[in-house]
Amino acid sequence: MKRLAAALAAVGSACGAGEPAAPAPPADFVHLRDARARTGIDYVHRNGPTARKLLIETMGGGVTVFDFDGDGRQDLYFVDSGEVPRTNAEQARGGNRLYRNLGHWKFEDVTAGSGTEGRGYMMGAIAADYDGDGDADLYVTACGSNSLLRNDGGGKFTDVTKQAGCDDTRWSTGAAFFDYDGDGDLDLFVQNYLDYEVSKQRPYFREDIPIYPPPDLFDPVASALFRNRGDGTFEDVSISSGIAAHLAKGLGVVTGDFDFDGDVDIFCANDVSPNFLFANQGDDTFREVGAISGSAYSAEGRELSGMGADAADLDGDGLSEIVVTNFSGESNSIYRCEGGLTYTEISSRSGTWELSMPCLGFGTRLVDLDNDGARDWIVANGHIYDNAEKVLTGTSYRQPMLLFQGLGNARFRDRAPDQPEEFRAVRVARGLAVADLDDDGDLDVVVGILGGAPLLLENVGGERNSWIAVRCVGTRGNTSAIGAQVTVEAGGRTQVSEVRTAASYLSQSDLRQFFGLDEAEKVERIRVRWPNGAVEEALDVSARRHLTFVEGSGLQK
Amino acid sequence: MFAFFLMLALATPPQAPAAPAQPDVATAERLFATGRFRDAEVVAEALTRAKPDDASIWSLLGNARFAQKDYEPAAAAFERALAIQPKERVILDNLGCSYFLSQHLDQARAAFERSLTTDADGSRAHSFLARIAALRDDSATAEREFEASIRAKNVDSLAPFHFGLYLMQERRIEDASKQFEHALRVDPDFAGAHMNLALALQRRGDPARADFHMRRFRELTEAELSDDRKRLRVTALLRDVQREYEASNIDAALALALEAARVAPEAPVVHQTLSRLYQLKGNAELATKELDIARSLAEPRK
Repeated sequence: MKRLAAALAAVGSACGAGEPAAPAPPADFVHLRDARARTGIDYVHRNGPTARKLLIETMGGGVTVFDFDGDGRQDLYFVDSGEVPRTNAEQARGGNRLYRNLGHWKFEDVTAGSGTEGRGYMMGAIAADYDGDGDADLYVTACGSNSLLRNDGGGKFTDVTKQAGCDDTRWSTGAAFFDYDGDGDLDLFVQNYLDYEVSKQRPYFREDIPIYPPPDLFDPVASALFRNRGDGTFEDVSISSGIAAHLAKGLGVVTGDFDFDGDVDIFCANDVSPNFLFANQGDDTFREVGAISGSAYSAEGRELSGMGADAADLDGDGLSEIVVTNFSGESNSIYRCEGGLTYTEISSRSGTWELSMPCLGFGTRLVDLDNDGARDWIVANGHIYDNAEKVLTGTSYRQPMLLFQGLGNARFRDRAPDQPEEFRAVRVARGLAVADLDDDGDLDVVVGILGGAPLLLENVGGERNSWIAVRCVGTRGNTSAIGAQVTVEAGGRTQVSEVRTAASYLSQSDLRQFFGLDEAEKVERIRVRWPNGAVEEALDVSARRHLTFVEGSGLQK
Repeated sequence: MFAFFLMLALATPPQAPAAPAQPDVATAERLFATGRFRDAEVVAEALTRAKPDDASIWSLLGNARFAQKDYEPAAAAFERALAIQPKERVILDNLGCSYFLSQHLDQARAAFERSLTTDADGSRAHSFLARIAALRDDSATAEREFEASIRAKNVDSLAPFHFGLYLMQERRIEDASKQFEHALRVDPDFAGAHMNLALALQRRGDPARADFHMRRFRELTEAELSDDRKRLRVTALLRDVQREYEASNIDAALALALEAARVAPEAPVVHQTLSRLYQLKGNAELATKELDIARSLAEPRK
C-alpha cells in the first residue's frame, strides 16, 4: 500500500509541475531516467576510430565518481581516449573532464587548469587518498604510460607519476587502490590487458571484412603491484608478491577480503584466459587459486572472455558472490561463494542466462537500486565489433543495457522492459559507476559510452524504500578507508558491504556504502570493521540518513 | 554418443580442394569434414536450390551453420530438413541444440520432446530438457529428466556431467561427484568433468584427489611447450576444442585441434586430442595413428 501510494504521489507531483508527465516507476521497482540534458555535462568520449581498426579504439570509456573537493557531493571524472597515437609511447594531451557536482543535478566543468586532462590514450581511472593528506587522488590507466594525479587541494592536481614510481607502460585497464600489506597506506594494483604496440597492429579480416582483431592474436601480460612506501612513492613488488608470475589478458578487477581472514584478496576478470583469484597469504605474497576455487572458468570448464567484475552478497549469507561480464555467446557469470575462497558458478539458475547470452557485457555493479535489501544487477553492454551484424549472428554492435531486480536468493527478475525508452535504447556502453548524485538515498548510475556522450541515469523511486548510507573516514593514512567493511542489521536482515575502489570496468563508484532497508525505519546495529581490524559500532540509528564514521571516534553526530 | 555429425563423411587430410564450379554433395561434405564450414555452407546453399526436397542437404546446411555458431540460421535449415523427414531423431536433436544455444528455449524444448517421440530413451534429449527445466527454475522436472538422461542405454557423457553441474548448484556435492565420475567412465578425457570433480573433491575434504583431477584437467587443456607464445596459442586452441566439444560441435572441435597441430605438431596433448576426436567420429584408423604420434612424442628422447 505504501509503495502504491508513493507511486501515485509521484505521478501527481510530475503532473502538478506542468511538465510532461513521465510514467511513474513500477510500484515494486525503480525507473532509471536519463538526466544528462539538465546537468550541463557536455562531455563526449572520443575513441578516434581508424580504418585500421586498432583494438585499443574499442575498449575505452571509463567513468569515475569521487568527491575531489571534499564538499560531500559526488563529482564526476570522465576518461577520454582521444586520437589514436602512432606509437604507445606517444603522449598527447588528454581530453579527460572533471565535473564538480553543484547539487540538484547541476554540474560544472572544472577541468581547465585542474591538471586532470591526462595524457596518452586513456582507459579508466580510480580515486583514493594514496598520500594520506585527506583528499582523493587519481590514477589513470592508458595504453602506454599511466598517470598518478596527486590532488593538491583547491581543484588542482599534479602529475607525480615519475617521482612516485608507479607507472606501467603496458596497456593498462583496471586498477585498484587497496592496502594489501596492512601497513595503513594504500598500495596500487594495475591490471594489464595485452602485449600490444599500436604501431605494429596489422589489419585483421574475417571473410574479407575488416574487423577489430581478436585478443587471441596477442600475448597475455602480467599485472603489476606497487607497495606504498608511505612517503608518496611506490615500490614495484610485482615479482616478490607473486603477481607477475601469472600472465593473462586482464580487464576487470575487484578487491575485497573475500574469505574474511583480515587481508584483501584480488579477483581479476580476464579476457580469453582463466580468471584469477589472488589469495592474500598475509605475508606480502599472493597465491593464485582461481581454478581450484571454482572462479576461473565457466561451470563447464571453459575459459571465458571476462570484461567487468563486481562482488556482493546476493543470497543473504554474508558471503560475497562474484559476477563477471563476458563476451556475446557466453552468459555473464555468477560465482556463488560457498565459504572461504570456494565458488560455484550458478548463472544458469539465476534468471539472467538467456538475456545475457547475446550481449557483450562490460561495466557492471551489484547494487540495491530499489532499497529493498536485495542487490540488483546492472550491466552496460556493447560489442567490440562495429560491424558485428555483418560478421556475427545473434548479436549487434549497439546493445541494450541489462537490469535485473535481485530477489535476495541469487536469482533475478528482468526489469529492463519496465524502464523508460532512454534506458532501453541500444548503445555501445563500456564503463559503469553508481553514486547517489543527488543525495536522496538511492543510487544513480553513470555509464560511459564509447565515442559518445555518457548516460546519467537518475534513480526515480528508490528513495521510496528506507535506506542508510555510511561514509567511512580513516585516520591512519588510508583516509578513504578502502577495505573497511560495513555491516548493517535492520528489519531482521544483516547486510555486509566493503569500501573498494575497484569494481565494474575501468570505473569507480561512490565510496559511501548504501544499504536498502525496505520498510525498516531504524537500524539496530551498524558495525564498521576498519582495515586494521578495529571495530566500531552504533546502535539504534534512525534510517534515511547519510552517516559518517570516523576511525577511532565512530559515528559522527 | 556424439552422433551429431556421424552421418557425414569423416575427416580427411586438412588440405581440402577449393569449392568446384559444379557443387555436389560429396564436395560439401568434404569441405565440412575438413573444417571449412563457411565453404561447406556456400556449397550446401547452392545444393538446396538445386534439390530443395533433399532433407540430407538441408541437414548438412544446418550442420555447417551450427559449426560456425550461426545457431538461428542453423535451426532454419534443420526445420526445412524436418519438414521433409519429420521423424529424423538426429536432426531433431540438432534442431533442439540450435534453439537452445540461440536462447529459444520453448522451441528447443519442443524439438527435444519431438525427438523423444522417436526414441524415448534419448540421453541427449532428456539432458537438454533437464537443462531447460533448470534454467526455468523447475527443479522437479529438471531432476526427473536428468535421471532419465543417465538411465538411457547409450549414455552421452554430457548427461551425467550436466546432472553433476546441477547438483553442484544444489549443493549436493557427493551426488555431484558421482555424476562427474560417471561422465569420466564414459569419457575418461572429459576435461570439464575432471575440473568439476576436482572442485567437488576439494569441497569434500579430499585435496589429494582434487589435485589429481585438476592436474588432469590442465593436462587435457594446456600444452607444455617451451615457446611461451606457442604454448599460450595452443592452450587457447585446446580450450576452444573443449568448448566445441561441450557444445556437441565435434567437427568444429576437430578443425581447432587440427589448427593446434599445425601450430605445435610437437605437442603430445594435441595429438591425444585429435585421437580422441577421431574416435568420437568413428575413425579408428586416424585415432590410432594420432595416439601413436602422441606416445612417440611423449617418450623420453634417447
